[in-house]
Amino acid sequence: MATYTILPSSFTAGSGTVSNPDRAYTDTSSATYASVTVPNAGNMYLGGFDFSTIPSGYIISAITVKIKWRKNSGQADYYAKLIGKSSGTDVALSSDLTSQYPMATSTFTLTESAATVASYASTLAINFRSSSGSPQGRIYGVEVIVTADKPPVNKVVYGGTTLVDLTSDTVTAADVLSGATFHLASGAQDTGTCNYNCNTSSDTTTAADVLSGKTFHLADGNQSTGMCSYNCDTSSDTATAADVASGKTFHLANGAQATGTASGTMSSTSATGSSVDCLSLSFTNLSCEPSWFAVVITSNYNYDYAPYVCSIVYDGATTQVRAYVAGNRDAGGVYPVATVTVAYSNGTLALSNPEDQGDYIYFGNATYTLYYM
Amino acid sequence: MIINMISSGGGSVPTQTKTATPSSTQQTVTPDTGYLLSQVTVNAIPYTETLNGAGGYTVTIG
Repeated sequence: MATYTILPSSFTAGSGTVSNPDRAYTDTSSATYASVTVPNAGNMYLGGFDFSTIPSGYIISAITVKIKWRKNSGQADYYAKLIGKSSGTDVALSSDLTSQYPMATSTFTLTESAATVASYASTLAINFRSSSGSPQGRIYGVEVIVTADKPPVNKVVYGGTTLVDLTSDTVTAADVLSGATFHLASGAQDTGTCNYNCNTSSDTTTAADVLSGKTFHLADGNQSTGMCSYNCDTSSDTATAADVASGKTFHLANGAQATGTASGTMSSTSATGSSVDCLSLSFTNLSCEPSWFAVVITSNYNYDYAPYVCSIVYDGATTQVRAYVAGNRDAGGVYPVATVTVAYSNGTLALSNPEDQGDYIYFGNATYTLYYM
Repeated sequence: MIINMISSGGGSVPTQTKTATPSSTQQTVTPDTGYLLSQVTVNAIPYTETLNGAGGYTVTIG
């Protein structure tokens, strides 16, 4: 890294005036000065900075521009700005500095990178202007301090044989894993920014394993597209083998295939009411939850205690309750609005509160047989 | 043989100086016929740095 101090060599007064302009062609340690009357037109320039002292190819990493100046006592402010020219038009490279009294050394705040400022080297200048009138002041000196680095060696030839050559490398920071250092074609060291970091080399996934249309990566790192047409979610399924016809295959909630064990034949069991005014009946040790059932009274009728349940039929959707009326066991009759509560849990079918429009219909202490599938 | 000529004849053998520039291959510096080498100057190893199109320097040795 080396530092180069570049001084101005030309002073254009524009519509203002400059006396002893050469006194400004020095650095900010000077005690002598050029006297200026600054125009409002903004066409006064101190420039002519010669960057040729910087070896060709050197990489400019920083630029600092200072000015030692002042406005005269009692004068209005005037302003200074670092500019470059583009097609004859001023391009601002810094923000404005405001003149002061007494003299001071000010540093320009650059608004462009050092590389950009350096690109305007041949037209670089300090532009002076007033906001109104023609204030007077002094310019003691300006210095452009350039920090430049010699480019690195990126190719070595010994005895006509190329030993090292980075000049054709195309790697960029985006190609290298984040945080890993490497060298660019220029020989400069850089750090990777690539966040993609996975090792697929041991993956066994094939297109047949991935849902159709979904993209994934193979073991060799190449992207591929799934071809699997199977796409269903069994995780909330409740079917068990006992629920499925014997020999038929199906899938459990965990995705495993299973075989049904339901016999498909009708099963039966019995239960007896606990008292003459019994309103509930439980059939236990069922082999499966019935998809339909029929309950019929089979013994120990109580003709004198009515009405009581004669039969209950469940077709998988609705429950029909048929009941006898007291004193006339043949009266029968389907109660059109009779209801019964049906509940099944862990092999037990519980029937309770048969009623018709608020009137109880009893199981009594009769025995009932449950036929179910 | 050269030493005998000096001691018996009393005459001086002409001398010469030579310059060599290192290269990637071995070289031998010898005097021309009838001369003695009084001095051999070895130049510095040829080394150049040239700015290349990739923004770095090409170093050429030898």
